[in-house]
Amino acid sequence: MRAVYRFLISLNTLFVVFTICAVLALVGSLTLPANLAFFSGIDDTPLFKWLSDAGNLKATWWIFVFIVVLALLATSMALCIVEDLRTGVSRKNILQKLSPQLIHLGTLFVLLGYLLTSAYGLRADVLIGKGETGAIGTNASLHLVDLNARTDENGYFTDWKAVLRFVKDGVESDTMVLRPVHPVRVGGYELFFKSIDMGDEQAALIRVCRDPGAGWALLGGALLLLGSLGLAYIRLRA
Amino acid sequence: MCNVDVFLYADDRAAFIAMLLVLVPAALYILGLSEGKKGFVFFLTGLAVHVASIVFRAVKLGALPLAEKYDNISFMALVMALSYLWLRRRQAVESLELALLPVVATLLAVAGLHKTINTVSPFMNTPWFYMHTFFYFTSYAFLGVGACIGAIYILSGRSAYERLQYRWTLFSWMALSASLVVGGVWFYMAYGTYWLWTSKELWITLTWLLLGLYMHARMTSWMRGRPAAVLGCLCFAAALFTYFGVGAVIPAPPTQF
Repeated sequence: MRAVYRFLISLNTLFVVFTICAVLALVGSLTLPANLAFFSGIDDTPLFKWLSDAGNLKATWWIFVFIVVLALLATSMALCIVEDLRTGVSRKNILQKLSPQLIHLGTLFVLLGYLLTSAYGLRADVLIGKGETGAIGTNASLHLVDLNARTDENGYFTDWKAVLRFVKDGVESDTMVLRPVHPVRVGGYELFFKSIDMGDEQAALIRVCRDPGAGWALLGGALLLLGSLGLAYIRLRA
Repeated sequence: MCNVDVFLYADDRAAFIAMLLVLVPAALYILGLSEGKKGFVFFLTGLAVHVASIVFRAVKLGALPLAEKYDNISFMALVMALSYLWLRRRQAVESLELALLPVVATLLAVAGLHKTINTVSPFMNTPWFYMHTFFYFTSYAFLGVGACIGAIYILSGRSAYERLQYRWTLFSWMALSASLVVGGVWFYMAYGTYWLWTSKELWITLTWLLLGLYMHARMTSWMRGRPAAVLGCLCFAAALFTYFGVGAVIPAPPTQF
């Protein structure tokens, strides 16, 4: 047991794991464009569901290995936090001790967030014509009341907005306005305005999400930043 | 490579001016390699024109010029030029201009090859996006400065330079981490996800991992001296490949995002 513990907190293990991750990222960056059609839906579905539906281990093996190696990395980081804080934290060295561990903890939370999203998340795109209704789930739908877009002199879209009603069990909500980068939360879903078609048949492409991991990832990001600031402070003082 | 369309520029006066406004400082930065005060005057003139070019773009766009490749590369070059000025004042690295200014000038020349569109997509019209690009290209610039200092260390063997490279690379890693965090927030708000399985994202992760490897190796004294300096330089090479190479060498799929 002690040998396993020592192996997991060893720097050599960390370097090997980092290197394997980097190699896997390289393999993935070459595999993705080589199997474009196959991977086209990977970002539209939570990862684990996509993996279980996709099959084709020949193209996805590196993602499975990535998951295993990241699990090893997460375990190693968690143990390093315990190990480091176990040994001599004092008022004098608190920032020096805590900053790197906040970064580790933040990274752990980001990984946890993505794990939760991959396992329990929901992601679906709904294309709704103006004045029409699109189903989301079994008993809910979105009604697109109105759609507006602004363009510049070259015809590029500069802004757009959709006026929507959320309908659940036949009951309509008040109207709400959905704009790019301004998601709306309704009925346990988050809605994102993904794209717009202002041609003859005006329509909006709306992404519907449930993301149980987003909060953890955000918390992880905040801790990572906090730890980084601590490190920066130490370095600037040195 | 990378959406280069120089001939179309001639039809677009603003884009042509934008191109000139980066090529002129690029030339002045090269002249900045001249010895003595003259060289420094060239450098400062180049810096002034460079700043003017960014102000010109900001006025043209009516927004912070950080959304297009032209602007991003120019901004990265500006941060490197300002870093050089700061290091020069502190007389921290001898002959730094020989390593750094050609990189800055090359970046500007590459920026000049990119056509400007002058429209900010609604998805980019948020402070999260601007913070993301600000930190991202600041990070690359710091990494570039660190790599130049590292290269000088490899040639000269002065250990103070290796420590300085570590410091710049540390700040680069911090800026990159900040960029990834705020970039994740921006992308989540725009598309409902903070991660994409694309070659670009994987290469950014690879760069971040390499930097993490360097930071751990250097902080724990597991690696010092020339091997550490080489690893720091490799991180910059990975960053450059992520930005310029992915899409050009590794085909990037057309994305719906």
